[in-house]
Amino acid sequence: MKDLHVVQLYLNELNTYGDRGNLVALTARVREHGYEPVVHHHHPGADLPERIDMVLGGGGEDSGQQVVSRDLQRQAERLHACVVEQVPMLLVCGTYQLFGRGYTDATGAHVPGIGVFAADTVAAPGRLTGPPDRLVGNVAVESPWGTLYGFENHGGLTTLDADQPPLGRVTRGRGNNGCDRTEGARTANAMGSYLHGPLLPANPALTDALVGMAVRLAHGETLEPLPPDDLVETVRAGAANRRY
Amino acid sequence: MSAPSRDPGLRTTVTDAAATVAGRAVALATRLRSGQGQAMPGLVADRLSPGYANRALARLPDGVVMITGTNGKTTTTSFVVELLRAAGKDVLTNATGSNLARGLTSTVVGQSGWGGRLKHDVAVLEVDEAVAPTFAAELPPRWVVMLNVGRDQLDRFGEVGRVVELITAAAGHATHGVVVSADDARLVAAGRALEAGGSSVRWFGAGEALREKFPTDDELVTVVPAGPVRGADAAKTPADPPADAVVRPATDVDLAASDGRHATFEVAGAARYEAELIVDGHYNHLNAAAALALVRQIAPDTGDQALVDAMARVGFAPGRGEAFTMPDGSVLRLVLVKNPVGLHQALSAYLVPGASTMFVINDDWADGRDVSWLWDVDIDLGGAPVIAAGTRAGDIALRLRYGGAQVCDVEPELGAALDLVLAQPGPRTVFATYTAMRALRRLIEARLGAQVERAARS
Repeated sequence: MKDLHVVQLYLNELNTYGDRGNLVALTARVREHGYEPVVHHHHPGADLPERIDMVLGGGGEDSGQQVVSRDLQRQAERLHACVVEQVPMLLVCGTYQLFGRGYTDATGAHVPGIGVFAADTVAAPGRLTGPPDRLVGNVAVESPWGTLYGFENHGGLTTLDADQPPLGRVTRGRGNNGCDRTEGARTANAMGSYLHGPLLPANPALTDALVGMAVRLAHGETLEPLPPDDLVETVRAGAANRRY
Repeated sequence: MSAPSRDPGLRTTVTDAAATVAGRAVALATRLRSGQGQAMPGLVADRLSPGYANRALARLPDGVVMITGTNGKTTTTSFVVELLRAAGKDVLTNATGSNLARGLTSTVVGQSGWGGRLKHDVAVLEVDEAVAPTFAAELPPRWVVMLNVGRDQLDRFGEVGRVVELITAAAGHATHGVVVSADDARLVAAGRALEAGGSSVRWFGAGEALREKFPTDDELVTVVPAGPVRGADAAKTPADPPADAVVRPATDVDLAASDGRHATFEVAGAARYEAELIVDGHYNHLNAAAALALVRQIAPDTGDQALVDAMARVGFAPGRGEAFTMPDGSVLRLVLVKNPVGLHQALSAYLVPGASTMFVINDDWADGRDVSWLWDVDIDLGGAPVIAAGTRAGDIALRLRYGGAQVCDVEPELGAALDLVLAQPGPRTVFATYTAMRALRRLIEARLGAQVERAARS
């Protein structure tokens, strides 16, 4: 069985929203397609593996962002090279923000990103008392891989530059900033998104797209489509009909 | 009132009496209509007489004890109540798990005399983390118990750090002291800060032998960093204690051992007490340890042995491992699960090989709209057949399938799901989110009537 090397970024620091499910679904799907997933957990201070066929990153609390930001600066050159090589990446929420130009928190402090996406994120304006308003709820996004269903829960508002393509357009929910109906960002095969849920289990078209990109890159091969999955269709029908 | 009274005390008494009557009327009406409505009576009483509940509670001779934290509030409250009763106290409590502001006022409405006065010595109230700071600021409790913090309904609370802030702020209002978990690094830091601010802090926790059974939320997703993981195990991320673990405070009470219904408590690192409880499950026993650490402070004259003996009188809180005996003698156990740590512990305590298993996941507001957390726990059912149910039946089915389970049925409707699991051979374990658990209890009660009432109490 041919290997597919997946780098899972910062699971100790950014792990709060169930995005580990992306790794569960991705590795299972890789195996179904007949490849052997090899997962490299990358932690701050460590080196990235020699071979990278795919990159995953999730969301977490603000406290995890600083240490991740510092490590990302160290890895920036390598990660930019991966983007140029067309390595597929799925970067959710906190990691998405730091693959943009960075995050400016409520106090005005800036956590720098690495600029894979031409995007800036600022903390949502707070209420007079209590925590800042967050963008929370079920989301549907029209994308090149069909409708993506997920759940957003973020306190950062992301604005894309005019020439930065989004991942898709929200038809339900708030998306990048609650304003321009964009959701996420895409540069080459690097995808940024605010969608938890987690995203990949309920959106196998996107999962297969990422696996297909990795397989083409690593082995020059094309994926055969897998038979439709009744259970996933049930989940997607439920998401399509959800009213809130 | 037609004419304003000159005496504000008398006026308050009169409006409080009116509020009690109105609140009770609403309680009766809503109960008749739907069997629910825990918040409405409080809402009405509070509108008619703002500050109604606080006035009544502030008059209690032994004040208010607040139980808060992510998991175990209701069970801990049950233990605290029983231990205080053993100390001779007349205790008021919100035993039904209605821990938001209106539910608390409703509790007072139901328990006070017609003038809005309470006859009790002390109130033991479980308080939702989001409500706790406001509640404690308005009515400073004597004692606050901080059980644990973890991801729970992130769509309501935002982030875990925020939950720590909320309950620490509440604990800062405690007039007599705070009881804190010694096993959660975040709470140890919070407890030490409270101590530095002059609070009296008491600690409880799990003894050395049990520590691995209680991973904190952070530990649950801490991955083993050594080398790549491949193949079928590629997505597994076994827990590994963080290298920079904090120094554990010396505890007042440790849960030294827990096996089935048997628990051993170690007090002040020395005396050991054995208990044979109605309630099994190591996490329920840890809640009992928290209760002991608290009540031995409030009522030191009672003696630790008498307090431990009183634990044996505590039954399961509704749906927290509660066992129902069916007419054929088989058992159905109902286990509340609502967040990653809770699910992890529920699985380790109550997942029985060979038992029929059902997961019921709803996504109402009280459950949390987001079900992402189901993916943060290693669920390995080893090919066992399970039933997936609830409004998010498909989502939990998908999660379970990725965990290696064989999902036999996907049934959103709870009545039909109950039929399915009852058609399976016993014993049966049903893991359910909050609204699913409550709905299932009502369904079981409706079907089995008095039979169930007896089983739940035995």
